[in-house]
Amino acid sequence: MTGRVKLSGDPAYTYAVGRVRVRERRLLTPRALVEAAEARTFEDAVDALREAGYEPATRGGAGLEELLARQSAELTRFIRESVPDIRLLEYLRLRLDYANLKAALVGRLTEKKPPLTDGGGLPLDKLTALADGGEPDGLPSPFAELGKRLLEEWEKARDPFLLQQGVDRALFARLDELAGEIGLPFLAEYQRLETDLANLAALVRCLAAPNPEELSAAAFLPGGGLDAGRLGILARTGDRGGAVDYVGRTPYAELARAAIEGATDGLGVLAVRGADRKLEFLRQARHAPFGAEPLIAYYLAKRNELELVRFVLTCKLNGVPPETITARLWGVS
Amino acid sequence: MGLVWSFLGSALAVALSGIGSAIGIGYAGQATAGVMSEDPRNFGKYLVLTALPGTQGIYGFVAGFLALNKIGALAATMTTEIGMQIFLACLPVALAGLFSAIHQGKVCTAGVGLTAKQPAESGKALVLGVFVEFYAVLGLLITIFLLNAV
Repeated sequence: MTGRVKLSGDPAYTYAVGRVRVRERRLLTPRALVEAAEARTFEDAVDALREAGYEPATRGGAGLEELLARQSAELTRFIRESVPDIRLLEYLRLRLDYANLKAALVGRLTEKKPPLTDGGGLPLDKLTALADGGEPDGLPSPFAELGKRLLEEWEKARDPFLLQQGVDRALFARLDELAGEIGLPFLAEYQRLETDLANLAALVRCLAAPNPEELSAAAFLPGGGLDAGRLGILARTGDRGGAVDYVGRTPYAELARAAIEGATDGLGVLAVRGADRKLEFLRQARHAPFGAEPLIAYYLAKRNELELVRFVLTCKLNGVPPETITARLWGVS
Repeated sequence: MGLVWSFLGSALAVALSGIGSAIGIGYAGQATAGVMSEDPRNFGKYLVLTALPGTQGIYGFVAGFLALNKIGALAATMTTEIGMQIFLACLPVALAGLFSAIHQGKVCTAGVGLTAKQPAESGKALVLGVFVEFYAVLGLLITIFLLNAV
């Protein structure tokens, strides 16, 4: 579980891997991120990131959104050009599509403008229409059906957690299915790791909640290496000791112990350590000269970088102190 | 029958080495094209790495040429036994050329990746490729010795 896997060595990706090798050189270094986090102003933070291609056209929050949208669209264009297997492109874009669908649904229910990200497969105008109160029919299948079903469920329960959970369940089910279809052990293993980390976060959230019975009903995703049924029982009964004992016998013992034991900001630390574990897994593709794995690893690392840049620059815009930003970046509490 | 065996040996020496070189250069060439599309600098460094798996094809051509010379010299007295000797003499360069070119292509492809990330280390990438070359050279030498012994 989450160890080294056999890489495919498929020569069909050799040209794309050549491109990835150059692009990897342009990924942000931790030092640049720390410099941005410790900068005095938002403009100074942007200066620290400029060398890696982060240059907003306009100042302030609008410039930041435009910058991230540009980077995201460029990344998607690169992947579209480089991936011979269309299912892999779909797999990589799926997170963005479901995140956009979730944002549109939440925007519709809270009557706020949704933060949609460019670069996915779903048309942004249709998502905006959905957020403005339109029907999900304009979206392609299976998003239209999912949107309709979730809106019906919302009318019954009016629970935002259930809505988000519904989107996540659909996303992970489709990711799992696609990873199986594509048949890359690297992808299947990464998918398992992602599902496990999502389930561990759900377990920590349930154990900390005052109403774990309600929360745990739809909290756990099938398909990972952890037993979702067992996690459900532990969460429902609020059995923190049992949870420590069970997770302690899995490869996530060190990663999740503090969070399950109820440490302050346990969920934040779990998120940072989970991201580290994912990056550690992706690193095994860093030196592979053949196969789709380096491309997948680059895409996921770049998406992670975009999230980190959004986090750091949004914090700078809102005047968050540098030590708080760096503490959150590296999981130091 | 001797002529058939000797022609087959000569043809295999050229064809198998050539196939190996084409595959090896194909790998390294694709990787180089990918790197060039993102960063067109340092083409000279990538050119050597891309061309390196091509030498096996040249070795095969040299061996094939030597075998044909031998066939020409022995045509009047060619027997099945001599034909088979020439055929067997051509096999080392044919097989070593085929497999070493493919593997050298893989090493050079990895070397292209290394150079893309650290251009100053391209010499090390080249040395690693040359290690594989060594076995193709051994194949050619044995083929030459065997042809001389026929």
